[in-house]
Amino acid sequence: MKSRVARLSVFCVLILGVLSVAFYALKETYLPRSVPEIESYKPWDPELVEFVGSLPVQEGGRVKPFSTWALYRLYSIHSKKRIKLKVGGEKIKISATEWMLDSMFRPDVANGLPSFRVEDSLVAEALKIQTGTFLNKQGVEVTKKRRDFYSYDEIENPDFIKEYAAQQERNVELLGEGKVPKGFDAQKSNLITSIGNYRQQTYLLEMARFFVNDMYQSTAEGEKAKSFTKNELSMSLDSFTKQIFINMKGAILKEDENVLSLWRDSEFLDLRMMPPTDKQSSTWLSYNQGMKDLMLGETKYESERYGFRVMDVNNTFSSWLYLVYEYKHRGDAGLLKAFKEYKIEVESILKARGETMDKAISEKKYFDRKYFANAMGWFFLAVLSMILILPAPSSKFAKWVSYLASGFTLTGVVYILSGLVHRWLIMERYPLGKLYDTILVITTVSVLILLFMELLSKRKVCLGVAVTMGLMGMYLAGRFEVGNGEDTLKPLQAVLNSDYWLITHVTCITIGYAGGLVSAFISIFYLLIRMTGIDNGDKEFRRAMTRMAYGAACFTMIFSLVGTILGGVWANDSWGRFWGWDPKENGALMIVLWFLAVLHARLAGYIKEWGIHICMVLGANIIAFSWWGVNFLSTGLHNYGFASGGSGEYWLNVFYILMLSIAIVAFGFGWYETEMKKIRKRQRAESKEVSDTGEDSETITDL
Amino acid sequence: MSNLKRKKRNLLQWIIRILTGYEITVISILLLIAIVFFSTLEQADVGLYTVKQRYYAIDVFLVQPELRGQLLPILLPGAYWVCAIFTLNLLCGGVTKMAYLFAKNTRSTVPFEKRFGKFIGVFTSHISMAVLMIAGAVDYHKSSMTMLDVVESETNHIGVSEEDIVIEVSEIVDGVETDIHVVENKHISGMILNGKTSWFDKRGGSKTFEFDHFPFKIKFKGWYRNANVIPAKVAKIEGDGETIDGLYVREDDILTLQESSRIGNYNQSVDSSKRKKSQNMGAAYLEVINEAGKSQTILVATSFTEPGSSFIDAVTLNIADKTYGFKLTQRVTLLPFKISLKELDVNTYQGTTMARDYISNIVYEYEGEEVATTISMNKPLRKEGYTVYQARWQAGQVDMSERKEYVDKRTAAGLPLDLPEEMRLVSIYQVVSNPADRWPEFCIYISGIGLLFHFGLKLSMFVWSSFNKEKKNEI
Repeated sequence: MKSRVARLSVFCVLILGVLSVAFYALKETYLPRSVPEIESYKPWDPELVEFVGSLPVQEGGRVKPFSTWALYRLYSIHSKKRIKLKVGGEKIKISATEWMLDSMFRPDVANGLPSFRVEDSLVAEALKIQTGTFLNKQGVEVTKKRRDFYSYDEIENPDFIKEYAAQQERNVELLGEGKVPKGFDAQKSNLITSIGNYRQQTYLLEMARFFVNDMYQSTAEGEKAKSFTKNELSMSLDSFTKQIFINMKGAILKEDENVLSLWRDSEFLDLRMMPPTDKQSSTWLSYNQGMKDLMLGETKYESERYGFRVMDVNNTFSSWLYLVYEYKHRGDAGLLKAFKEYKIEVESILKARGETMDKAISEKKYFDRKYFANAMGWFFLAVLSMILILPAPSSKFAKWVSYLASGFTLTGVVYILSGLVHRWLIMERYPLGKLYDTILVITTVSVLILLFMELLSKRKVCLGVAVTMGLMGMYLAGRFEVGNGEDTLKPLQAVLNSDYWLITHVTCITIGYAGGLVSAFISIFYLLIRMTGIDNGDKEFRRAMTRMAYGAACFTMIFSLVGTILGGVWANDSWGRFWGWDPKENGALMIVLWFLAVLHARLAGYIKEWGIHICMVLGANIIAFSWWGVNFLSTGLHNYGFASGGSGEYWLNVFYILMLSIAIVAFGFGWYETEMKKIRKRQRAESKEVSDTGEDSETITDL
Repeated sequence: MSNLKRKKRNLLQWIIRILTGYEITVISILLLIAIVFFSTLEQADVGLYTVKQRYYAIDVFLVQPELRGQLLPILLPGAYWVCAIFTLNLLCGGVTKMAYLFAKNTRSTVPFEKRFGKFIGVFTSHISMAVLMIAGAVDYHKSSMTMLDVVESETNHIGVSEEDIVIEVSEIVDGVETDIHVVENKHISGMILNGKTSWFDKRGGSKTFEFDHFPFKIKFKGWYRNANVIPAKVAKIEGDGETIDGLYVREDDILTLQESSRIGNYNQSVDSSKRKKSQNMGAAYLEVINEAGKSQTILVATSFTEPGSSFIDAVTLNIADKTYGFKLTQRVTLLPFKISLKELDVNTYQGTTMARDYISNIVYEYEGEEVATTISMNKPLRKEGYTVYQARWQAGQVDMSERKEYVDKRTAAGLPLDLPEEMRLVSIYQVVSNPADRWPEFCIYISGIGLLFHFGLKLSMFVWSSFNKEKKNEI
């Protein structure tokens, strides 16, 4: 028993070792944030937030709820779902919709929110962002670490604009070469893009605000709108443009005109929230178009100037004027009222077009239900349950707790599957076309395979692996969604737009990845258990584990092989060649080849238990390379999957090193154990010889 | 097995033993993994075309991987030959296994039916894999690929290759090229002058070509795949070629036209002037040696790529009182069929210019017979041994919304399209002739059935035994 406790302790130490590597890596990417105190911040009316969140917006080739649009913009800038701050000593969290409302309707407040994630101190230095303790624009003393969350007020400086223009040019250059920025370039580019995107938001209603401020005059009867002739209107626009330039500080005006135009371009966000009355057109009317119409004098503005009671759907600009006006004069309640009228207008046009807002509402529900966060919660409970049974896995208590863990795991799987089905309904296509989708499917398939294995083996190891993979998968999905900051429901490129090939080729490849990861994780558990000896040398247990890993390897090989060839057949139908040595194709081929090599090596007897498991762990690296690694190479025809590196590449490297380390350590153990066995065998043979031949043999031994 | 070991084998038995052995299988697979891995990494630096020539061409026997401009201290065999050995191993292994299965004097005590059940799935999939590899070889040797651009309301049958650059040598009579001789791409494709070279690397070599009844031969010393031809007044940098007639060559970046166009297709906002320099513009130095052994070096290039660079078409030389033209150009193919593009229907996602699908309504004409049909993404047209794919499209200066309005009006009125010139789009097709076009598809069906049968059988046996074991334990 003592030795068992000792071995269990060593096992736990090893697990802690692996976890500490993960935590160390996590620490490197984790950004501690100082939560600023903003006394003047007034939270929005929750009813308004909820209402605005469900309004439809057309963006990226589809109609989505305002809350989704805001959420992905927040992800891309802030890398978190909410912004934290303190109001009156109390911590509050601002949602994406609230943050967007702040940006649009009260940019002065938004400019003080810690929206920007500055990950690299060198980037902060390059953009002349002030760090340490300093007085902010409001005269409040703030302390910022070199890696921290910054507000726009803390970031803005004249040098930044020049850097912005230079980086934009560099990005265009790289894009022209079919590449994406990497390393420091990527960090700088991301921050600059974030700031540009943010400025688009805050400047969005600037013109509407300018007009609302300028066009109303107080009279004895109350506030009345001024009348404008076309010329006056044009002059107002001119003064508005000048205002923008003034905002950009006089000093910059002397600089390069190109810099100015680049900077100005960034300030217009194409927000489309009004469907067109023209049934032939599928493009929603944009706020900017309304503004351009106004500039060209093609607006019905003059006839509808007072109060904007009549929403002019062909001029979204005047609709927004109304929103801004209502907010200015009646605050949250006025804005809610104006948005309600806006919605009635949108609904009536949609009805006339034979369309509804159902999909946007359904998508809002999809996000509100938090399928994958809930799944992660269930997997976490399952992991906790499994930790409970670690000291005595064969006890009755363990048996019941494992049932409970299985229940938690299945609930997690049900959540993921429900989320996937919901995504399918929203996207109206097979929900496996993007990198994000693959994380969800791989997690589900892995957990299901492992639960099936558990059903057969009943050793609780597969259940343990299942809950670990489930938790890790959901964590990865969450991190990817936030870190990537891109709409995960966006439409597919023409070449991918084929449900037949997505269902056949992509599904097979993804299942192959899942199988390979399952075999790798089983092998990691096997190697940890064997190296610590907590199985007490139970040969049957070891054989069972090996059979499971081997079975998973066969499973991987079949699906990867079929999926890879199907990919070739698809490529032959779309690109005119079966095989083109493209990085993504090569990655899939490497998986097939690796598992073929392992299975054949096993058949030929070149590798035995240790060998199989070490190969499975190395196989995880090949899968990671194929699944993620090739995306960072930024070359080839699968460019819809390209990634810009950053923390993703960092984590991938951590994974490679971790797997490689486990394989090397296991190899050392295996080699040592085999050598010891050989020595013991030789000694036994020698001692047998001694007992058989007596003194003569002893003489030989001495020799 | 131990009895077999003791037996002395003759040479044939040794050869069979080696060819059918697992050693060859495992080693060739591991080598392929290494080749695929390094070639994938190298692609990011030197591009796909160069990598294909360096790792996968038939005349590559050894390759030294290069990463970020540095040759690695590793030597790998050429992928073509590893694949050939692997295929041989697959076939020999399959045949030998079958021979053992049907051999009457087998020592196995397992009944034939059981052995057959275990054998047939694996055998089928192995053979289909071998066929797949052979399909790859057929594709490599026998397939051809060209691009066909057709403007709406027009007809075309002249394909221009984007990847294959050839040397054309001709006699110029009254300003017209006659007696044209072509040095095919396969003879020069691997001799690209970029990256570092090893002692065995063909990138560092040269080839001499002679032509019937031409009083000279040419020595080809490699070519620049993406070249800028630059006037000598512009200062040279390291790696630039020698100056000939006031011009020299500088290697540009690495994407093929096909690659860069596809990137452009997906990211339509890419500035076209930035993309231009990624095009596939070759240049080469040719040494023309006359019968007296006197040589002269000339510079030939397909086009220029940067503003300020010079354009070179055919370079002419007077040799033995005749004028000869030398040209580096994209391979032109006269296709046996014609395609008339009636309309290119581009469907975009709402509110974007991102294509959801594009469909060409065409008339296919072959030997005077016309067939009206469509070609779209993922749905090619297969006819007369050729496959025509919808590769991409170009809007050029066309205002898409104006065009849509025009098309909608004409369609609603039931009138023929009659697109004005300024509204015509260009559809670009990839035309492929590959005798093994459908082989992979058949292989996957056969292999899939074989594997499912084999592993399905194993899985069901495993599940069965697991449940039986459980029952026993319960008892």
